[in-house]
Amino acid sequence: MNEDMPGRKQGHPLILRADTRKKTRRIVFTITAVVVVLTVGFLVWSLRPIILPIIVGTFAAYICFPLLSLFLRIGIPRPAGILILFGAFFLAVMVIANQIGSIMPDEREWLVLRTRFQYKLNERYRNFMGLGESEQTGNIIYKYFGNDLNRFMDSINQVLHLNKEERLLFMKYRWGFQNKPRIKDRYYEYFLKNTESLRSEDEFKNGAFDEGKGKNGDLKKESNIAVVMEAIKLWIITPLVFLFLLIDDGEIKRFFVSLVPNPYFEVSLAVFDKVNGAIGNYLRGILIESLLVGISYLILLSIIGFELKFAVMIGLIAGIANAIPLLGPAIALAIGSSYALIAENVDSILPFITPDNLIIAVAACVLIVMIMDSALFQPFVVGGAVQIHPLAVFIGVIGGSILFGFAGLILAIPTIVVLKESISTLFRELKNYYII
Amino acid sequence: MIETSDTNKNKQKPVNAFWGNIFSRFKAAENITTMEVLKLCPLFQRLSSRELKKVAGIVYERSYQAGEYLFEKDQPGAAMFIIKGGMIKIIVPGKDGADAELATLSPEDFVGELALLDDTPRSASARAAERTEALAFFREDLNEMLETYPVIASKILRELSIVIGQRLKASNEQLYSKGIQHE
Repeated sequence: MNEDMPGRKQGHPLILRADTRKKTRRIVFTITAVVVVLTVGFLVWSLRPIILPIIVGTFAAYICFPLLSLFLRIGIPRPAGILILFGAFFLAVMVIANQIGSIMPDEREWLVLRTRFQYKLNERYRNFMGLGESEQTGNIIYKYFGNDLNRFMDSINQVLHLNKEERLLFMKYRWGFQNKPRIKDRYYEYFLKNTESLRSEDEFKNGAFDEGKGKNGDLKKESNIAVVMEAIKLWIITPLVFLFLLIDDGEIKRFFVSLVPNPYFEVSLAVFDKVNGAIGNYLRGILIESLLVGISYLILLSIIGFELKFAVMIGLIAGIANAIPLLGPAIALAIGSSYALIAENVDSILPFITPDNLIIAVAACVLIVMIMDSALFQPFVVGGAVQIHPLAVFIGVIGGSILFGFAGLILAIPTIVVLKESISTLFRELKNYYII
Repeated sequence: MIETSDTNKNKQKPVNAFWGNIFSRFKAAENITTMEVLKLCPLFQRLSSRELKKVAGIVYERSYQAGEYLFEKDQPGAAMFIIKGGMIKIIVPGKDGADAELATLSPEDFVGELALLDDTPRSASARAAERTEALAFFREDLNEMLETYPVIASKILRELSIVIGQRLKASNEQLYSKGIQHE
């Protein structure tokens, strides 16, 4: 072996032949690529709590790039433009966070909502199945599917049941706690009805109801300050990412392009530009579409008699969920129906809408928004959006939610779109350049 | 066919280094700055220093070994190249398989300027004849500049039009003279 390497034999530095050098270079590249991929994978997995704040910052910056260009065109210097956009972003975040905070149900409201929802769900189930107080046999549906449906309802009830601590807390709010208004008698009756079985089995035996009476039973183990600090620690990244991406004047792109070997230089520029344009258009399109969908829900739900607070909340969630094709309307329908289920009285401008047919009205709203979305918003706002196979949508959404929770659920489809667009553009351009 | 790097370097060295440094329009590639190269390029001659700085911020510096292609014939064009140092040859494949050399370009020259207008295929290949430093000016950056700094972009496009017009005139003259020769 050493005979082929006179340099080594004579004690000179090792000089590799051209083909050996090529092979060595390939091995080094492969090992480097594997190490980089593993490191990136490890970092993404380890730092997954900050992925959502980073993506939100990037998303906001992408949306603002055309605005920055507009500022430059009308003569506003770049630093001033960045400052204006950053200020607007910060203000928007503060206003949105404040608004969301004010419409989100607090601890007391959350307990009441769950109690109402559980009671109403069971009540409607009993009515639908013909299981009134007098007739216990049920209707024909119940006769055939009763056992299965009962099991299903049991599992829902398991989820909705207030646990021991929550029940104690409910009782405290019932009698007035933390200067909050007392829980209404009607909801207390719902609570008693919901907890009938539990009290007989569990709490009367243990005397838990009595135990709870003098305690300070706040559900949160962590202090509010700690929770806020934790959120700030994570989300402080968002404005920083936003700011640095706006300040970046192509340095990141130039760095990556500088790593590209000469034969692929032009094609890399073409790919980068086309992918960048397509992603920017997609993200801006989807944002405007989601905004329009959210506003449509807000208006329609208000018309059919939803409380404004809940109409805003459902509009917001439905708008965000709209990023998920097919599942977005289903999520809107599920949340809207949940509210319709617990609505005690409806204040609609349409006289024929009552609490009994509110679910049908919600379904009609979802249908109208879906038609508006596919007939108006998508063609005119998103334009030639990237089409994804429904199977890819479901696998992506489920996979994303398993890996990254709620963030994965929402961001799965945009991520798939970005990957699809990048890969298809890369291959198209490589073919154009006769590289493959 | 391609000259070695050392031969060309020797060829380019001025006889009198002292006077050469004073009167030569070009410095060695490693000493000349991007701004200076751009200033020498006809496309950017009408730009002020401030405007040139903007352009210098968006060009890509590339380094090619002798024999490496800047671009190849029939590939879609995406960027124009300005030679900062070294030398490149413009070649087209001949019928017999051998490359026909159309031109040799040196510092300050630029090539592939039509790529700034659209992505039609390159009409010839550009190959580094020696170690070459080049600045690549990307079409989409020029398009973006039209949006953000329209004054700079329109100055560049005006000069580009002049250059293309001159080349068209030269081509017509060549065709005309060839026609006369045939007659």
